[in-house]
Amino acid sequence: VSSIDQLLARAELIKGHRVPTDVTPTSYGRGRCACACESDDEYAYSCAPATTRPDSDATDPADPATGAAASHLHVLCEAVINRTAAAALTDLVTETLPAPHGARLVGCILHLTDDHTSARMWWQYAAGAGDNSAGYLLYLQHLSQGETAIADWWLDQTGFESRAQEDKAVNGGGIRLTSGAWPAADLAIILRVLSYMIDPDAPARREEVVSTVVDYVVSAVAAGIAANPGELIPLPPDFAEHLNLILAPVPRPGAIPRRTTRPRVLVGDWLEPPTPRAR
Amino acid sequence: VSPYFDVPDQEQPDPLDPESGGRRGRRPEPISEGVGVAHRGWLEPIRRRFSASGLTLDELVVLSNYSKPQISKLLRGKGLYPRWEITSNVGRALGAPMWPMRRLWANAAREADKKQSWIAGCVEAVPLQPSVQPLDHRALAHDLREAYTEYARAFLTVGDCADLVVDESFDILWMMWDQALNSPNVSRHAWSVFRERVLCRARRLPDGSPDLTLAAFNTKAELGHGIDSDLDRFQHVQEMIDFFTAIGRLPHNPMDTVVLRHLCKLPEAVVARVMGVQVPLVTAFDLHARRILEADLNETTNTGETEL
Repeated sequence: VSSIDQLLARAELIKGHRVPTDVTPTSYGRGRCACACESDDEYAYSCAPATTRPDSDATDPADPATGAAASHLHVLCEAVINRTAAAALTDLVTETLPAPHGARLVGCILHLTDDHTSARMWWQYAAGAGDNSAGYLLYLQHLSQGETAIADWWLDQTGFESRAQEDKAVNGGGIRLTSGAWPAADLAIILRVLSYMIDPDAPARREEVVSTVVDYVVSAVAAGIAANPGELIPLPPDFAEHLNLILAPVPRPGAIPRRTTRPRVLVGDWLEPPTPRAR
Repeated sequence: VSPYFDVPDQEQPDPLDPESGGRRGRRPEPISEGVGVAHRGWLEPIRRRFSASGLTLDELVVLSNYSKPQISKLLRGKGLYPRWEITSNVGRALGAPMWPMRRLWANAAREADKKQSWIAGCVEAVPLQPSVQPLDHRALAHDLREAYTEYARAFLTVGDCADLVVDESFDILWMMWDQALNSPNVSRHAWSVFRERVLCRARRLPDGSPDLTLAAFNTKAELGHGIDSDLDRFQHVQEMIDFFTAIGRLPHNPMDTVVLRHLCKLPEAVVARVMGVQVPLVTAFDLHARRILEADLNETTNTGETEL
């Protein structure tokens, strides 16, 4: 524990630091900023530039960018799940808190099961802890809901190229590769191609272990919310233990060598404490 | 908490306070409940001016050319948010500076969820000449604005709230400038007006103390000097949140001192000028705060250990 002097020395605030106004307040269940600091007429106080002002919350279904973002998000979530489900969740920060890349995966799983609010919370945690891909997922999610200002803000946070540059690069007829920054245009094109190839209505084909993890995470998050309704990203305390049970190769001394698939664990089992499989 | 550290904000009973005696007629009724923070911003100075003017309600009715129930409702903040026409007439009858009053009125109208077109329509209906800002008010605002903004930003991290509260406080001071000049210590008076505006907008913790949690994420140390792993970062943030919560629970003078002196990193002499107290008193507040924080911190750690 630090002494008071150390704590006071470390408590200095960053000068002039300004947290942007929450531009999607309704989705967080919070009211608008009470002091109306967003106005910019002549008899108002000095005000923020127009870019930080809130958009309308309404989604415009006619906007093609909204629909494209939704399908890109779907494709990206599928890709994240298929590529990382088997490995990302074994790395835990605390016993119930996955590392940022694990949180990104949980967000993707929840998004595909239509729990968009929880998905956003998990991605926000991951993005806040430096996971740029989660920031990009948030960018797509906000864009798919027509919230362009906060979408741009998240894209900015990822360190990928800004959307304006991206549009310029795409509309200019070619992809511009800049050194240092990840070209967001590339990512957009890849996602566009993939979303043409994948039928969003067709059932997803996943490996058995992946779908096992997906099923477990969904039920674990539901159990976590039921146990701790106040928490934003709750998980049951035995989350890690169960995952290890699912993911670890099962030692079978007397097993038939030909069988390589892992035993399937039923969803209901995971909500019970793990019991050693005797006999 | 030693009573020694309490500096009286008002050393004499305030002669302009509408609730104090010494004026003709019936005592004015208090401001009705549910009047917003911004609305009070211009309503309280107007009530003080009315009280100080020695006018009766009937005289004010004649001067402002509106009916008695309308004026009475306006002075109590009852009913719908008042239009600028009636508000400005009352303000003019009481000799209030109209320029800051209009800003306060428009700001409160936004808080009352009035549409921008409604506000613009009201404002256009009343032509207004710019008011001349008193030179000493301008000097005070120039001198204190930066420190005030830093203090406000510790509590109001999001958006431009901090800047708005500072502007608003200077406008309220402008509206009551005579009273400020008559007070024994202008800086202290300004500080008490300002900090009240900040704290009534600050978010509160369940125990009622101001919430400094968001500020705990804005420390310079958090930017990563020497913090490499995620776990260290978590620990640092958690430690800072606990510490900032403890700061929020301090008595008000020690809390202000810690925020200005350590969070905003202002020199002691500047803190004294901003708070309107003597330098040795700032030292005393600081020591007092450290002692409380230390006790608070030890208590938390000890409980933590016994729980384990």
